[in-house]
Amino acid sequence: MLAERILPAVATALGALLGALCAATALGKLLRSAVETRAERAVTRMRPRLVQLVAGNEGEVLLHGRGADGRAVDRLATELLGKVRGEAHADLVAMLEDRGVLARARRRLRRGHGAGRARAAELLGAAHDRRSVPELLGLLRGRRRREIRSVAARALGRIGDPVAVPALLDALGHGVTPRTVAQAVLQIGLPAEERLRRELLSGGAPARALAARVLGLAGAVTAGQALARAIATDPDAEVRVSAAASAGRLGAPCAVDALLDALAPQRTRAERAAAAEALGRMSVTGAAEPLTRLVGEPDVAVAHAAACALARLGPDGRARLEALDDAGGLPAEHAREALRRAA
Amino acid sequence: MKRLLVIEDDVDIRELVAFKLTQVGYEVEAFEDPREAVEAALHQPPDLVVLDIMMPAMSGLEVCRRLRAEPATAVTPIVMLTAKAQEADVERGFAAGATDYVVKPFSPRELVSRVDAILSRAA
Repeated sequence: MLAERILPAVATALGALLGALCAATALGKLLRSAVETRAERAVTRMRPRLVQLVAGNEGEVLLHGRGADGRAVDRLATELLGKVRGEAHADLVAMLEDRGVLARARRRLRRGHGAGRARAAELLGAAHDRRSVPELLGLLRGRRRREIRSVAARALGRIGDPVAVPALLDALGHGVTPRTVAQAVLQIGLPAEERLRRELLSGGAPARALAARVLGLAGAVTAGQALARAIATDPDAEVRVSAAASAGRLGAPCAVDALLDALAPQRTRAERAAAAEALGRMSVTGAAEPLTRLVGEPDVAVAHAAACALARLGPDGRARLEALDDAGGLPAEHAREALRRAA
Repeated sequence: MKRLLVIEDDVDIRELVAFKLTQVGYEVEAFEDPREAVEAALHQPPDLVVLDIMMPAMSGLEVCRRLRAEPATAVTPIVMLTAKAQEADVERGFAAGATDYVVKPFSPRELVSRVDAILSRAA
């Protein structure tokens, strides 16, 4: 009897609850959609005025935009920051500063939650905001999630302050990928060179390897001696390989002797291949003889790199490859492949 | 008045470039869809085209090649405006027929200077 009375009541209550939940969900969707539509309309309305600011001058009007229009201006300006440079970038930064957007981002960097900090770091990086460098360095060194440290690394790269280089290189062993660190240091550019050279001498092995690689990619022509020393004496093979590759990329004549020594059989195959490639890239004609010997090596990677290097040494190198081709065997295959690639 | 086409799928950049070029005295038609832009260019050849590379409907390189293949637009100056900044990308742009190559993030003032310079040489 009791069950007969209770069960229908429970079913009715559950039905009503379900209905209420459905209605609340639908209402929530409607409200969200209305808010999004309003925001999109504001963006469409404010875009031409922001464009005029970037291309000319309408700063006062935009400075006082509030509500949906103000949020639209902030959103549009934030998105445009990464797309322009020069005077247009400076005007956007000034406007965001005047509207208090950058100050809020700096505060979020210190006290926000994970995603908020990451968004703040992205914005401050795009604004090239040097005032936030200490906070970003704190995020990079702190025990935050790997994603936050990566965002901080990217932001520091965009800001371009060389003071960040040691912390960026240290971040290598703490979840930030070598690619992210290399890109950040490359963005800092020439001002980072001096610190990179110091890291190459005294940093940990991953930092030394990355410093060697980035010095080459950055075109740091004054780093030749430091790279030559690293090729000859660094205790870590990966550092020696990176230094050899960069010496070749830079065309550093002072590294030629170290590169020739790095062809020796007691060196690792990666070092020998990198040294051969670098000598070819630099068109060191004096390397023709040792490179020719290397084409006869049983190690395919080393022999192939030596053959390709010979192909870059001009008529003498090509004549040597043709002679190897005539002699037959595995060296002939390497020689033919190198000549084919060079053609 | 010189007539320019701006072909760019990013609405912020499209409107900024169009406004800036209009501001300095050019007549500008801006397109989001590169296929429509190619039709417009062939129907009435412009004096210069500002062209993005990475667009969903059709690559800017393809647009460039198509314009170069048509006698009406074979010599129309084309300025590539793109985020693709590697040496190989620049090579591909010029190989496709670009007259100049501007990398994003870009300076609107510098873009206008380049457009001015190209059109004054062409005059």
